[in-house]
Amino acid sequence: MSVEHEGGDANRAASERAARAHADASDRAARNAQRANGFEQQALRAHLQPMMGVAMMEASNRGSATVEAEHVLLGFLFDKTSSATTVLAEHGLDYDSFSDALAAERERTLAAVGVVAPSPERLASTPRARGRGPRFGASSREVWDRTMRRVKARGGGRPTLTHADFIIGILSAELGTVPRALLQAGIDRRPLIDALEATIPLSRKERIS
Amino acid sequence: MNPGPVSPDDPIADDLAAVVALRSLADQLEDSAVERALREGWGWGQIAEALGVTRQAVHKKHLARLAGTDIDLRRRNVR
Repeated sequence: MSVEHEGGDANRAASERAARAHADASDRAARNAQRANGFEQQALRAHLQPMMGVAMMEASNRGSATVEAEHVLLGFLFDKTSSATTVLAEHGLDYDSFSDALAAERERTLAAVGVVAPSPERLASTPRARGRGPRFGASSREVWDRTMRRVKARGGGRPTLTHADFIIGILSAELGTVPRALLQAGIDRRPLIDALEATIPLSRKERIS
Repeated sequence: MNPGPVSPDDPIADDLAAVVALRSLADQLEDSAVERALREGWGWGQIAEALGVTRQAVHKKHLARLAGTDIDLRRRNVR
């Protein structure tokens, strides 16, 4: 069992587990997509499943009982081939840089109140049992609401969702772990959001509809 | 009235973020220490006493998580 911000075998094992979860979820998504009979909700779920598999694994590896916005962002960043993550990488945000930024944010936030986290060995544990699905925390629920509001406000008939829409929903949070981690890492969110916005009308392949 | 914008690294935001980080750290440390205590042969009652909560509370929070591990959880209810 690994915890965040430590290199070595534990992190490699966690990464391999995440990779397996991603592959499994991709298979499931493909099967589900075949079953999906054109209902947008089903297509959406299938499309987001690989990302959710990684997000759940990230939450669990980091000792979080709930899937928060930062875990969802790691889930998106894990797939380095999507057009959205390619754009983000060009602006300095990728899986590794965000993972480092999260670890640094935690360390710095704790240090500000005089706390140094004990060694990862003293924090390692069997993950808490969870039910069938992920438990979403307040920050990831807010991402969903923000994304839906934005997409609906775009108008033009039926809302069409892309990965970029969700990532913008994550990046546009005013407060919380994600904006703090990015700010402290010197990653400016505005150019990231603008660059993602620019991909939306073009990335038809990634559209969920 | 809508509140004005607040920077994520505002001093109050720092303290609120510290609350989040401390809660998460406390949870992680509890999960780890309870598991290590059980591996060392502690009873549920001893863990509960050390944590300052009831035995039922510790049981409810940690039993499902640890039931699938190699820890022998039988005959822990004596103390």
